[in-house]
Amino acid sequence: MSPAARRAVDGPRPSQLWKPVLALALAVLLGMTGYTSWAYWQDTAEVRTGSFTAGGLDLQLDTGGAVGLGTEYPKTSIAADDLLPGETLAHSLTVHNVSSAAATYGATVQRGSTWGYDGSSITFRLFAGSPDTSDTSYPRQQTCSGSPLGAQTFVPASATSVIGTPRALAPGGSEALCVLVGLDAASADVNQGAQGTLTLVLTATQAVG
Amino acid sequence: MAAAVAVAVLLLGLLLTPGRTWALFSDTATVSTGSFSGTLASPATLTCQTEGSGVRIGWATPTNRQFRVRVLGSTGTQVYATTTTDNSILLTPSLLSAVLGARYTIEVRTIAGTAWQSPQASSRSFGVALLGLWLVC
Repeated sequence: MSPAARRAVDGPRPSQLWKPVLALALAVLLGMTGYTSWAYWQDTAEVRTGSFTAGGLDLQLDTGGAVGLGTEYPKTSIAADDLLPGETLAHSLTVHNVSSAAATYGATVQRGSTWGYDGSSITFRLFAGSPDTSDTSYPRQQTCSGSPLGAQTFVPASATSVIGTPRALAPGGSEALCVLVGLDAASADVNQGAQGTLTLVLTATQAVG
Repeated sequence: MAAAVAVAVLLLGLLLTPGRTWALFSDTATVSTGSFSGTLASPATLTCQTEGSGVRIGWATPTNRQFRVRVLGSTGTQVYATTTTDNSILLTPSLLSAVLGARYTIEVRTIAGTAWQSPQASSRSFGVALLGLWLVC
């Protein structure tokens, strides 16, 4: 047998086979990944939660006063007939934080819808304490226990703060206030027979931290 | 040195970290008060009765107030302010007026503070004569 015939019988040598084998393997792999479709089973689980209700910050006054947001509390017992120069009258007011969040609150005062006094007559001061109303004879000079929350001021035409530093109220907490209203001793004679109401606005804000 | 640099970097990081913004719930409660009225009532009708060698002028209302008493006579006017909450004043005519005879008019006003006085004054007159033996309201 000639050498050429012997080479044909023996076939290609192993070192020459790797190229076709690799090509075949690549083709098989591409065929499997590109053209095979898979069926997947699946399931969906739905969770329905309870209701998420937003909490509210509610500052209430006395017993059942100013319930709800932005409400008004007519407290007609804060009043005086026959008020004379040099007299001061003390009245109680309790604030409650009925929410579950801590809060701080401040207050402003201004003349109410009825006002007949001049600007240097009716005085106002707020205390953290309780009223002493034992003095009922002329001139009535009632007082408040506790510490003043701000300086005494003539009741202004526009809202003016009467609490120097906001007061903290724990969740469910309350604080007793004393409202001291007076008629200045130097009030002019033209104020005789005048009438006036006050508007006291307490604003609570949720405390953070 | 390395520790100081680390602390400085940490502080710088804290400074550059944007602060959190919290939405805060709030509530406003408005208190509307009753009325504060300033009035000064005038004294009620004056009473007059002799008491010793003088005359006591009295009034029933208002109580717990301070009063200014003006005595108007032929020789002039005298003013007395009650320093207490008395509701009467004893006036004793002078010896001269008792000898010569005189007639007095008493006016009483309620006063308060430094400026207030009642809009109306109550008045009463009395006379004296015969060395004070004759006193009549």
